[in-house]
Amino acid sequence: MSPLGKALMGLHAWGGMIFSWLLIPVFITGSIAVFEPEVSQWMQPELTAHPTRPSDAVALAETHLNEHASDQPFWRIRLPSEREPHIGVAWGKNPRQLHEATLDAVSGEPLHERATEGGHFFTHFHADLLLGAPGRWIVGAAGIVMLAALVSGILIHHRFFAEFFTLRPHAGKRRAWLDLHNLSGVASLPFLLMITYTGCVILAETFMPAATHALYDGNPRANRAEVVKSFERKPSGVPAGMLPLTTHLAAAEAILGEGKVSSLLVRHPGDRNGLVQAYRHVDDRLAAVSDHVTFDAANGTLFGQQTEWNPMTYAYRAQVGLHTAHFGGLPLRWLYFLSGLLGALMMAAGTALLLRKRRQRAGEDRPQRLLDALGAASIPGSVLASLAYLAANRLIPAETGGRETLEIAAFFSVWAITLIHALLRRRRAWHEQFVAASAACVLLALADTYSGGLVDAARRGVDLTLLATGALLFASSRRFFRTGDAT
Amino acid sequence: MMPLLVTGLLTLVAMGCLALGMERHFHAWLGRAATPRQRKDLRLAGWFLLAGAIALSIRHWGASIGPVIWLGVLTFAILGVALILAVRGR
Repeated sequence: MSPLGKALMGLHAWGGMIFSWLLIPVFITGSIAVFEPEVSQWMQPELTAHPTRPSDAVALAETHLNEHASDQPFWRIRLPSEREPHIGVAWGKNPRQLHEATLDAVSGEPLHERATEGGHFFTHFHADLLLGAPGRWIVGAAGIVMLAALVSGILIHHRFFAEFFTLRPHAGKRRAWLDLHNLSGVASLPFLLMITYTGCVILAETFMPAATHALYDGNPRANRAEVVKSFERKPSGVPAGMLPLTTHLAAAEAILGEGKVSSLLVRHPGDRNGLVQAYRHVDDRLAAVSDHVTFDAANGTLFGQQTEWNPMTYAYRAQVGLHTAHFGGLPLRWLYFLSGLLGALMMAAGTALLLRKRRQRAGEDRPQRLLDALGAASIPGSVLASLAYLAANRLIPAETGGRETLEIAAFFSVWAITLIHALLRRRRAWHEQFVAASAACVLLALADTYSGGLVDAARRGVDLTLLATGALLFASSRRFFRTGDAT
Repeated sequence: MMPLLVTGLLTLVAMGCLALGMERHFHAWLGRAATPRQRKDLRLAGWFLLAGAIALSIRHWGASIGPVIWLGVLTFAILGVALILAVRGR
């Protein structure tokens, strides 16, 4: 191998493995995040799912807000959609920190769902590990190493063109892992390059804030305000009647399209200067830009609208849209979910290859045991941690105070336990954790099915996915980890 | 779901043709060597079917979303062909 090949190999193998400890959990949680609303629905069995008309939902929401929040300067209404079939209402003094409630889409009754981060936890962990800006730097750095590992991987495994479509599960262990690594990597290469690149693009501002900081006098939000027009005015203090929100909804649908309104924001309801703003869904376009229109709350005249954007906005938001996959409906969500897991599988097989190679050279020395344990904690361990989060959701009583924090604590404690377990049980840990994860999947699916999960489409989907995952985990535990010589 | 299935099936057959257009997979699948002419025809058919699949997804999902869905489908078509060949290869 040429010196350059050796250097690339080192970068690919070691850089890839060390960052895969983080990238595998990031890919797994990112895949789950594709189904964020469905997971939230699963985690809040109190939520109901009834089809309804947008105008009926808006009328119910307005009644609720009039009763409970008539003196509040901000109201927000999230209309029911196919994926979130209930009404979200929110009110308060600061539009960024509103008090929220969920209403049944047909009766308008509050649903009193349990407190939980729901599916959003996976999105949050995927984006910044719940650490804020430092977390974004860490995930961003991992993303850049991932790009380097992908490109160096294409150069190292250049023979894969000759071996395209080749999978030899019954050949030697090394051969089998290498085939799996190459095939899953090559098959999902367009997706992996796209998702990693767009992920880095989303974080670009976080890496290099200096230019925006300098150009906008230290106020990066001013950049956004330049692009997203806001139509606001001060309250007059003069009370005035408001046209029914359903009238505003109809006017908004005339501009944005029928059934296309996703939410309404009311500024200063009951004031002469009150405004009603309607936002459009982004689920039928690649570029994640939400058109919006604003009406005078009292007489319904158009106050402002933004339905056309600067071309650069479309260009940038198309990359964000490509990453977050709100377009393309159910087929695309499944493709993203499976492709993301395929990426995790590719990294797991790469880790298995390197661990095996190092063991053959160095034996069971102390660093080897640590590398093995870290591998186990990142691969079956992060799956177990995610399942622990779902299990905690069912085990912690619905009324418990601060339960959403306890659920997240369950994720991180089980993750830490998988690392300790892997350090203690050494290579047997791989098999044991795969079996445990498989059992947890099946138990969760059965428990939910027998506690009413069958009535709700989203919960049924999550349960079936859990069952399939359980079967797959069990098969891989038998296939690859039977005798404990995982790698 | 129907357009997805059709696109998926077309892409799967296309990738199958491309795989059989390769010496080793043709031999593993049919137990004999392919003539250069057969391999060329299979590869040609594969590329044609791929073009058909992408045209179909652009027609159904539009020029911006169609190619994305097609690329996603491609991933699983490659996997599918590899799995079929692996099972046959036993």
